[in-house]
Amino acid sequence: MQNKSFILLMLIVVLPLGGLTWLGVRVARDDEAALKQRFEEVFATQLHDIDGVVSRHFESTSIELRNTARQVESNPDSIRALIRRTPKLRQVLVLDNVGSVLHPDSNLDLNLTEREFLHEAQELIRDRDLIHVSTGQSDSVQKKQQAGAALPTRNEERGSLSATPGGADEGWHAWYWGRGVHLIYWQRRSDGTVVGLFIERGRWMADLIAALPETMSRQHDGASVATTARFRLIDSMGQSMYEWGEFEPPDGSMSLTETAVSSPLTSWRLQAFVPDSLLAGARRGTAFQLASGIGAVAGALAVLVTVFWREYSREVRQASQRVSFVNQVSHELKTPLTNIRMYADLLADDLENLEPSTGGKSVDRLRVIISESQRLSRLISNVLTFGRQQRDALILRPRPASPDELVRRVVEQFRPNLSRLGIQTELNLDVEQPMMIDPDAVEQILVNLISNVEKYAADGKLLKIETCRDDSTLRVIVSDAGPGIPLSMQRTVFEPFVRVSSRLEDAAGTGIGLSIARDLARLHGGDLTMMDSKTGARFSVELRVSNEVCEA
Amino acid sequence: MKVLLAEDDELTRQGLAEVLASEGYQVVQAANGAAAMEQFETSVPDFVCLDIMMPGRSGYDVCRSIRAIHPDIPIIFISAKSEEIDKVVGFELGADDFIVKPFGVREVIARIRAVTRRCHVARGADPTASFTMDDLEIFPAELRATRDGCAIELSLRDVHILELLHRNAGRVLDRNVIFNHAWGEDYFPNSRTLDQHISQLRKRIEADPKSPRIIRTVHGAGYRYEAEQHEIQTDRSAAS
Repeated sequence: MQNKSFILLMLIVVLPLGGLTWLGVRVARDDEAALKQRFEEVFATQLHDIDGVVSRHFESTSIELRNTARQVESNPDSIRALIRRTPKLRQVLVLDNVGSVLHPDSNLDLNLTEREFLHEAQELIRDRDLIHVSTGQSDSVQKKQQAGAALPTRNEERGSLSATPGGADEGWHAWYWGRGVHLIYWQRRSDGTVVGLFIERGRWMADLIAALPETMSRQHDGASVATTARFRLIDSMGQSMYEWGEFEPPDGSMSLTETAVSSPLTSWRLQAFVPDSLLAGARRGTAFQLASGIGAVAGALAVLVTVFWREYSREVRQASQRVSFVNQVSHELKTPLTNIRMYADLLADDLENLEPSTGGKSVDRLRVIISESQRLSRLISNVLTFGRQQRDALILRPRPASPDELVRRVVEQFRPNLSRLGIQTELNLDVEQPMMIDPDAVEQILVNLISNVEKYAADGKLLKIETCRDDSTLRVIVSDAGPGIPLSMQRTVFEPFVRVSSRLEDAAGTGIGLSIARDLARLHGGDLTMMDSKTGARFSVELRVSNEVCEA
Repeated sequence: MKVLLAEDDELTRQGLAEVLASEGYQVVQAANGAAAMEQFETSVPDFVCLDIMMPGRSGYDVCRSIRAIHPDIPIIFISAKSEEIDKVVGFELGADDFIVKPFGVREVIARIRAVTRRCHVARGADPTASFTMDDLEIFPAELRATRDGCAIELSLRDVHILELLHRNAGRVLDRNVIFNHAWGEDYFPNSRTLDQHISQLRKRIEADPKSPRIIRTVHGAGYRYEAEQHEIQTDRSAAS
């Protein structure tokens, strides 16, 4: 019983904890995913900001170049002077509105760099890329890549500073030649000519890098703060162009997130690498929170269980104390009862010996004492049996016994009281042969039925007991001619503590007799039932007995 | 026959002692378990009656100690504990019988006699050995007599008295002699006690208690068993 409750309580603790842990692990996993996503978002934002830096850089560069482009005249010498004056500028290309080269004009006397440039840019010129770009027809731009150059991630290689589609008059154009990207700032003039400013590659890259952050960034207050993550600018060849940040990602590690650089370097990418420790640190944080959460719940559960367990065991203890108190009291009652009974017996013997003639009346009185003490001991044994019944500890000990003999003996016990009350007994016995029954239990059944007759049906002046046997069923019928039991009570009268009349001034009784008697009959595989009767009450005890009957 | 009676309730102990004494047993009393063990070792009883719930050492405990010394001595538990488990424990510990309180005097007597019979048999007495007094056949080991096939229960004291009278058939036995034999030397002789007992015994064994043929009163002297008729019959049968 105790073990069972203990296991139950353990389940109450273990199951929720298990569920909680499972839930915790799931939550932790979700948290980790969410955390990673958050990290990704954070770093994506950072990359976006960096991309903004790149965009702004080219924007400011284009403003600077706008003026330079305006200074471009048709005179080749002035153009050459402009290139000399502007270190950023590698070469200037001037095209008329249909794409014919106005400068450098191959018909004129060209210097070496101009000739090289025309050679390099011959495809660009032939395909009229700048004309297409400047007029908004850039659909075939992507095929302008030189063999050997990595494919740009985007088709669109054109960048336009103006948002007006097809109507922009300045912008950037990325031009692939050799193994790298070259940038051209173009400007369309009102006369339809297009001026392209070819930017010195090393120069614009250096300017771009200078515009990007450093590992140690200087704050407004002068203190320098290290960037923990690692950022990489990847060029169109997939090579790292520039990277910053303290973290050194191992070779081949995946970036947490990446983003394409906006125009004009649309084939370039920005990547962010985050050390695992940063993620793990955050994970440890959630793990710790989770563990402390589970711990707190476990603690609360433990306290709860302890409280309940103590409460429960106290109740169990109290219940068993009550039961054992009843048992104790009943046993204690037996000691004086033993002495009353024994000394009454001894006194009766003495009286019979001493005064055979005059002792008769005293002996009769002693018989009353004896029969009353017997009744008291029957009550006590009823209480003890009831206690056993409540503890489910009623056990039969069947042995061969003659039912008729048993009935006669029990009736004999009651004889003095029955005759005092003027109750006639009528025995109709037919089962002399021993049967396997528990004689103590059957005696208790009979005692309870007969004492009911004695208590409640004495007016009927009749006690009738019949025994009969049908194969393996022993039937004992106890009937009286008293007031009987009202129909409404016939069902409940077998319940403990139910009495036909609960008024105290009515006949005594504890109300457990029939309940015990029925349980004992049922333990025999039979039952105790009320039978229809015109007068009085009629109880039928049925006991199912195993067929093999030992001949005692 | 000596009985050790261990019972903590004084009234119960005295009452039981009286019952046992009236049956013809010599009773040694103990009020608790420890005293019971002491008495067991000093007085060497023939069987033991033990209460279970006693202060100090319980009846179970005493039973085990006794069994360790003497594996065969009959032990009867007399207890208010009536649960099946109490009885099972008692029997497992080697008890021979279990009397539940409250008991009737007749039940105790019947059980004590049963144990005494087993005691006799265990000591090698032949349960079928008998002697005859008049038309009564007495089986001393069985504490029983029969007349015309009807069984008459006898107490140990009854058997002692009948044995003494039979051994001294034809002789008048002084009251004190009978008393000392059947009650013991240390019992204060009371002629009334003996006379009462004889009168009770006659009611059970004599065919007609008013004119006794087995225990005859010799006024002023004592009692006598007259074997004449019986012996004459035996002589006759021997002669023929």
